[in-house]
Amino acid sequence: MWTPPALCPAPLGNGPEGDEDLNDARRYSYKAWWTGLMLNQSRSIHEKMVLFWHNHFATETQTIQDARFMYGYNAMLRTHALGNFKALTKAVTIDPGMLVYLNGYLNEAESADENYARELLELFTCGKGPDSQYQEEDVRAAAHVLTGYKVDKINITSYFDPTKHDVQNKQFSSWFSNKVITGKTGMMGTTELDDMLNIIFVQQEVAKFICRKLYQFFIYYEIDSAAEAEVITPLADIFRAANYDIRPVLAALFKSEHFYDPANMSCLIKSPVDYTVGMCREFGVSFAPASDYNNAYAQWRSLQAAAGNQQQNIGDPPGVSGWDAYYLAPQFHELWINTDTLPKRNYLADQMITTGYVSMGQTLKIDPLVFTKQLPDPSNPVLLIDDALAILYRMDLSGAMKAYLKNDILLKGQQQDYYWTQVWNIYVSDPGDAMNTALVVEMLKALYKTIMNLSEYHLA
Amino acid sequence: MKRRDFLRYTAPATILPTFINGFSIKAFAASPFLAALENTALDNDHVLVMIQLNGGNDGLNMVIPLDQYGKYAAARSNIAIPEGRVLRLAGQTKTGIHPSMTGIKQLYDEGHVSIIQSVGYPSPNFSHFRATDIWLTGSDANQVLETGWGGRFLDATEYPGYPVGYPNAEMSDPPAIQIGSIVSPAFVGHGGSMGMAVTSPTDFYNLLENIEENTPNTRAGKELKYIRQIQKQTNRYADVIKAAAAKVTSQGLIPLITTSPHS
Repeated sequence: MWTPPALCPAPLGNGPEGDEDLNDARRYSYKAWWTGLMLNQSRSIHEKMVLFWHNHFATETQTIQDARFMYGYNAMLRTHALGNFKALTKAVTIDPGMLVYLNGYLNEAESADENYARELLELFTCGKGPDSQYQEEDVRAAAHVLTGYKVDKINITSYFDPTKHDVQNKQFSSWFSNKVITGKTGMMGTTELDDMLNIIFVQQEVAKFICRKLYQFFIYYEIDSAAEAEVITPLADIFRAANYDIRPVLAALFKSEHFYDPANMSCLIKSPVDYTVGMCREFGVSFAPASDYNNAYAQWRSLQAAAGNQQQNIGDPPGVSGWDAYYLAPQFHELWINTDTLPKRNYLADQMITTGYVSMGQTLKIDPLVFTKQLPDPSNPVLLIDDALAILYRMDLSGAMKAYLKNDILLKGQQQDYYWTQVWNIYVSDPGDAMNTALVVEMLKALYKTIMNLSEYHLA
Repeated sequence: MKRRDFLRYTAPATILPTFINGFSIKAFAASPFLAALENTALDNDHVLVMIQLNGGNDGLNMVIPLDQYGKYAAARSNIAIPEGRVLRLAGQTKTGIHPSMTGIKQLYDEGHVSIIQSVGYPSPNFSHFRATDIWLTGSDANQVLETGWGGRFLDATEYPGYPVGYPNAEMSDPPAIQIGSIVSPAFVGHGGSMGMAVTSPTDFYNLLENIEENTPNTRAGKELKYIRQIQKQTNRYADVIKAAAAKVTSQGLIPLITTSPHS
């Protein structure tokens, strides 16, 4: 079970709502904190799943406004990210942030608001594929089931007001076997939500819908008929058999032959979060320690803003359907790369590897020596490039390209490999030789800059 | 940008750089940059400027049927605009507009605004996304298209085969430009997006020249090819857009507004 890390300033959970300026400041902190968690993650799929669920059960901080609700929504996702999807769906439904975002707190018997009910069916559980056949009457019925939930800004929680709840019976369509949810008075009204989730989660399509999204997030956007039959269908069976526990599905997917099939490798375009956080982690970019929170938060914020600039501003997707790149046909993840965002991605990489990426009074920089020293045999320029590419790329480069990197970039046209070997060995034996070390750094910078500028670097 | 701010926004030329650099602003506003593009076009060139306002709009309180005011007021007795407050429009008495829209009224009276009524389609869809898709792709309610109406027009009639072979001597300009960092589905043609996203036309970053190589016939190869293509495009349209931006003078957009029962 995830518990909030010590990094989160304790008063945030109990402080007053504050005005717009306070919530803006907290929003930046919240996004910086989240970025810090991603940068410092252990070898676990948890952070990727938090991002996946944020995109799936999307909310926007700009609408939620109350920073305590923003944080609460994230904490809720974290708790359930590798838990149970049905429990997660229920938690999202009564989450204060989500109740604000999709008007759930305004949904009352006298004036039912269908906003959340519609998205619950269309975006969160059944989807809108050809096998999802819910009707408008199901949206209406769901909306009435969900009447009476409210948010409490003093205790920073949600609650149920039975006087605002519609106690009539709720009739669902033939696709839901014409089920009726009996309306209940008093606090028993909350059990109608459980009744409704039981009805929804009987649908075979729910498991398939989620498995398809997981497939598109982790493998590739295209699900051909073979993949649908041989991957999605069995994964969905596993999901249902596990009563909608998430881990068994991921374990099956990540241990499958399909996942390791070379035909499915290196074909995902890195999202801006993948790109920015991944770059910092693989190059070992150093950040201020969390205890130095003034600088740490500013640095995390600077990186998060760069990803936002590249069109993935965590906490604020473009809408409740999440980021286009994860679902919009025909281009899907190609949408991350256009004539505006590609120069921005390249600009970040170039700044990081040369002068440092200066933003918000902070400088983020790749130290090429840190990365290079971990390689098995950096003195050999052929192996240096092979081993660096094995970490930085997911696909092979041709012999011609590798030769270009070695001869034209690293060696700058020098004919002999020993030109590099020499200076590297001097660095190792005498790092205090400033001029030699500077030369080594310049050569490595040119190499890694070129590697990051090539299109291969944008693929995962 | 909030829709209300956009509708009343005026952009003096001096704040152009911050406006275009503000990628977070996805909506267009009266932009000297767009006006400059308009001015660089030849007399027989056609430039269409589209502004998409996202969100719900109460069309019936925005464009008000004065010739049926009684029925209108009876149908929405709790929110009808009082008849005396509806703005009258020059040259006709059947239609008025919401009292806040003084700017649009002025433009209308000057002959710069047209209103197209009842733009819609049978069996409207209640899903926000499906409805938006239908609008941007120009499909029927029960039809799913992967291309946009703008993209298909540019694709089929103007620039067949795009992006292969573009830019060229006959057509050195991008077929569509969107200010902001995302290109609308309306501009998606069969070859992908025909729009070019621009934040700062004067601040393009020059990329490394790619070495031409064959891409493997795999999923990875397909994506690699796409990214390399964008790398190249980014270079080639930079000059055209820089030149247009250098000619920024004054504003001069002519707005076109459509209304529909379900806008």
